Amino acid sequence: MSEAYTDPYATLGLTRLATADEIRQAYFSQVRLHPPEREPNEFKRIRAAYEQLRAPEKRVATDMRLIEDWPEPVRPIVPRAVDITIHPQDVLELLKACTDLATQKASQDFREVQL
Amino acid sequence: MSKKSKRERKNPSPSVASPAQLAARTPDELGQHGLREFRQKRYAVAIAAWQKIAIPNDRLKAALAEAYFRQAAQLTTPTDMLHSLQRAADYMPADAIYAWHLGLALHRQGQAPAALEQYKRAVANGFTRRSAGIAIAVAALELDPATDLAALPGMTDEHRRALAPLVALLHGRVMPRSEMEGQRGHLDALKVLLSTSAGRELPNQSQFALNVLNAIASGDTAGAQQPLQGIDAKGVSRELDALRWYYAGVAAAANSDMFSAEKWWRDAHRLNPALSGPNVNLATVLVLRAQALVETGDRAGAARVILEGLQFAEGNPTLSAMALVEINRLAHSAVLAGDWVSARDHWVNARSILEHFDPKRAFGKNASTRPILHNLALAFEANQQWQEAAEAWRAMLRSRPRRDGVDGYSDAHWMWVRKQIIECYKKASNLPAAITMFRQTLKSSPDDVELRLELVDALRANEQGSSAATELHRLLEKHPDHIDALKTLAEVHLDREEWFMAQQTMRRALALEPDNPDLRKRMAHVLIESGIGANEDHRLAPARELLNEASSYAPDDYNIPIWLARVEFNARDVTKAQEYVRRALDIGKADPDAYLQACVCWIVEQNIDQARDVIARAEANGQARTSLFLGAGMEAITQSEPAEAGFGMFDFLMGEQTNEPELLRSEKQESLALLGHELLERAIQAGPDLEILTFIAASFVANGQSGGVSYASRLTKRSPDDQHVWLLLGILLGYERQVTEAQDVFRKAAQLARKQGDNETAGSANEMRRAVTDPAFKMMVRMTMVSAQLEASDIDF
Repeated sequence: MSEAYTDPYATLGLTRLATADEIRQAYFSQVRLHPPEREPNEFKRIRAAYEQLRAPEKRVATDMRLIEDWPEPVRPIVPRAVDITIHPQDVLELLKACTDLATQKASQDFREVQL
Repeated sequence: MSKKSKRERKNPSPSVASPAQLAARTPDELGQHGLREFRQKRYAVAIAAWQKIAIPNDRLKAALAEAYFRQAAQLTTPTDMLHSLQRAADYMPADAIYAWHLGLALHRQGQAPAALEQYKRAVANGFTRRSAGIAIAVAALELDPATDLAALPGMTDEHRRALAPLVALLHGRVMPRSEMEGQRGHLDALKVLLSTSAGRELPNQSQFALNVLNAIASGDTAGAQQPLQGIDAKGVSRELDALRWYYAGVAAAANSDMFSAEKWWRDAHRLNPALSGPNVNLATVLVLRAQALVETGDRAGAARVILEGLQFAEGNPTLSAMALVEINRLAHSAVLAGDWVSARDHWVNARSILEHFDPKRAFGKNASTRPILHNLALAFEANQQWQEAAEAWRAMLRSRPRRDGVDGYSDAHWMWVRKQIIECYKKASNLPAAITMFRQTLKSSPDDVELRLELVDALRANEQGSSAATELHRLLEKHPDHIDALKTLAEVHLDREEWFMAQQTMRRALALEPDNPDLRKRMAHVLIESGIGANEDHRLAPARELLNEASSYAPDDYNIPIWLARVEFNARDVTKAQEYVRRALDIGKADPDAYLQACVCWIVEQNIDQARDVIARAEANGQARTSLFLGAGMEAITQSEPAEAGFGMFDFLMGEQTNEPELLRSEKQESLALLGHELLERAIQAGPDLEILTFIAASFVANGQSGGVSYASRLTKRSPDDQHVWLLLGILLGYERQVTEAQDVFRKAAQLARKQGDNETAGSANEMRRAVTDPAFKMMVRMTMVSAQLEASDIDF
């Protein structure tokens, strides 16, 4: 269920918008930094990342298997202050609760019938 | 007469008269009958009787109005009640009481304008109850808080003074405490006005509402904290009590007592979850708390608080924006820690938030739900929830922007998504259900192009090519220039070996976008497939023509000259064929597969020297890989087999189980077999040997070929405890009719399998042990494989 998650762009120090040339250049510079004879494991990791991005079709599949970032808000999130005003609607509700609307029963206005 | 029950005596059933019986009675009889029913509180029956009197006098009209009025009091459905009151008012239009009660009923239903009309009518007809002015004022203020109370009927100075602090509140102005002090007693006056109306002490509810109003209108928000806490709420509705606790919280907040404020707003929310004030303020409090947690680095705590806040204020922009940022960060961390379960839960929460919140509001015009849906689909897949994953990919597909490329996604990315949807449905074993669902949805949205393409994908995956073609034709009727539909239709024709139709469809697409590289590549593919088909049918001229045209679309594809070489081999023009093979190797000199294809060409032609030349050239160019030795070696073994008379299935089915004829290899075939084994040895040396040996042994079994025993024997030495490799060896011994040895090996495979709890393999091994004595053993094994392949594919009838 849980599998190791790696981002080949991060391994090569690239953004996801990197061009094919940038990918190749990043690979070569990473290999120069971590040559296989000195750092075989690191080289393996770099090579695997490059393999995932080298061919366009494979790169599409790789892109689609990567977690996408959520953008940062365009403006900082500033919460507003709590509302301590009195709402007219609440006043009216309370007022209605006092009036005949809430209290009056029709039975007190019943009248007798005569034919 | 039977004895009546207690209930019946109390509420006697109406002496129901049929319409005919009523019609037969005199007006006087009807009047008396109605009166009896009226006194028994059966107002509907009374009304029916009185309405039979053709010409009602004023008394009868008054009686009918009163019956309707009382009936309204018995009714519980607001609409019925309003209807009854309206009838009462219709019979007695000048009656103040009926107009008043009709006004109240309309007002309770939220119809303030109609209510106000009835109130005015009541006052105009002499309704003098002092509380009338209050109800009229409330209705008028509801319609317009700036209304001039002096202009309303039924209003006195007493009313206006009593309502002054509340009107000030409605005008957005709190009467200062000093002013309130000077006008003390205003709300007391209101109480007096209302008590008169009730005819007794005010009910608890009214008393409560008055006390709350008194506290919040006192001009001192902070000072209202104590009074509001102390109000007795006995017999008060939850909605009204929620208002009290909301304003208690407001007062506490004004006193900077946020602890009490939050507590009371939570109380208010519990009493009336629909009241917006407490929810908005709780959301704000929780945003502030979450921000403090983020600053201390406790992102998990912050996310919990934000999600709690969203329970109070779904869609709140600040909370939603914060939630999406924090949740995605948490989910990302969970993924990096390999915890896809938590990641999935986070993104499920994020998706719920996006149902009520447009991300463009906080994250810019290019923000969309896509990243969350994408991540969620990946998380569902990681948790093997294929159905959910398919749905999430579908939702993501629907987020595709109208203009291509604005979100950094290309057609290829979206095509990948479409394929993935079908993959997930397949893994969920749910393709037919997906097809049904797509069809049902299309019934309601027949013009949904994307959905129809999804249906086509599903039909193709379910091997219903004919239905897929029908859907595509339907789509192309309305959208003749739809490139995706044309590409897909060409693929469907190819699947069905309708070469010409496939070519025509691709030509149509290319006419629309002649320089589209994807279309050119696809056109080449269609032409290659068509050329291969023509070559197989020995229509060599069209085959050449098609493949040459394919070459004009894909000049760098080495497969095309390989196929042209095969056409020339069929035409017995070896020189030309050799030229094509050479051209293929020139084009594909850096691709190991080009050497394999070229080598296979010569092996099929049984030209061992040329095959060896190709291998030498691959070695010289550093392209001699394991795959070349393995592929060429197995092909050479296959080509070395003497041709069989046929599969012999008919004989087998008819019970003609005879020994297979002994077929002898030609000299060339012997040489090919030697070459094959030599190449397979080189493949094993190139390694990894265990995997290669397994592949070779399994290929011999699958192809029903003799000569694989030595490879399987070596495999059993490398993996002596693997029951499967013993099974392979047994089958290959059986192929070579070494029955006793095969039986021993099958016995061993069964023992090993049982030891490892693999009862299925043990059963297969025992079955094989019995079957190997049959002379038609090889044919039986091959038939089993054929039927397994048939079962594996769904056939589109």
